[in-house]
Amino acid sequence: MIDSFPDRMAWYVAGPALGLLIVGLFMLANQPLGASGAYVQMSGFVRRKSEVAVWRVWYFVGMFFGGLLVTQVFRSGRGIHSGYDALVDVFPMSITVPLVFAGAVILGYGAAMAGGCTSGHGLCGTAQRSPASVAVTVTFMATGIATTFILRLLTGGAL
Amino acid sequence: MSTHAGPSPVRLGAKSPKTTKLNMVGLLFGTLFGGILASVRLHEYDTIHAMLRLDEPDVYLLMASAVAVSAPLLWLLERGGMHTPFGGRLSLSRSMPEAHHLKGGALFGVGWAIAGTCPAPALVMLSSGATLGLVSIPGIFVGLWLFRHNSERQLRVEVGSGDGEHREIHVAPLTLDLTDGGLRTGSTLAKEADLRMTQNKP
Repeated sequence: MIDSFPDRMAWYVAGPALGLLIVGLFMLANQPLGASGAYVQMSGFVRRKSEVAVWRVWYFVGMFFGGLLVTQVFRSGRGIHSGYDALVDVFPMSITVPLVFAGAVILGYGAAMAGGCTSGHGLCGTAQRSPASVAVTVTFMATGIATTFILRLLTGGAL
Repeated sequence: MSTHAGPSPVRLGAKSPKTTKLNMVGLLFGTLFGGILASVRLHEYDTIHAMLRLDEPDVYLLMASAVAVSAPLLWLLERGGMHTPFGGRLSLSRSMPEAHHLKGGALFGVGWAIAGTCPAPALVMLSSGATLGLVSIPGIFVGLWLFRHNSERQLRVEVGSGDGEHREIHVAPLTLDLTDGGLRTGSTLAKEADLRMTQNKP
């Protein structure tokens, strides 16, 4: 545990760092930093398909590892928890688990159809000034905010 | 399909020194990306939820500042014709929006708000010790698989043929068309499909 590691790093530090990371991968490999593409490669790798970009599998593993490093080593770990405190406060587990699963399926399906996710279109596509990525980003921000407000209404403001 | 070689075994091990280096680049960038996401707590439901509830501007500012830093640099590097060690000349993808972008983006936003996570943060969620990461990560895989399955079926109808090559030609670039943000496989697959089509022409 590193005592000086911030509980939550400020956006004006992490944001530009993320920007430089995006530029770095373009400078080294002419590749964007999108995460859903790594999921596609990971699933191809697990199913032993040919034409798998193995370095994307390493990238996939790296995201998990980087998270592990910060949440368990740099900070003192929280131990085993649900990860959905606010949701668990409102719903019993019998509703929370199917809800999270359904949400994840919808976002996975949407990411496949749109050709990317928050990191792909939201960050890397927008950074390339891609009109398609800007359109996807504006769309998912809008439906994300709208869905959240509908969830708030349905739960009487509890969420 | 007789001209198509069977799947070759894929291994995490490297074939050449350059592959090893690229794998290590992948691991390094994945680690740094996951680390940054964890340092701003983007792996937590509460962070995404607070953002979409418009309670705090931090995540919007994070994304905006990341783009504000990277967009001009990428523009300059492309203009300068930079040659990258692993990927040839640095080039940016700038597709025009199509219907599937908007439909997919709309669905993604709905799922994002419900699950309170997205593909990269879901992995960090699990490594932070959050057990429901074991629900969201498989869910994302199922969603990706469902689209591939569904689009194949739809396109078989559209193309009007159950022929394997035709389905591959039209489906592969669409399914893996992560050209702007994700991995660039669409064009490669399209080229391969064209090759296969030429090979199979009577």
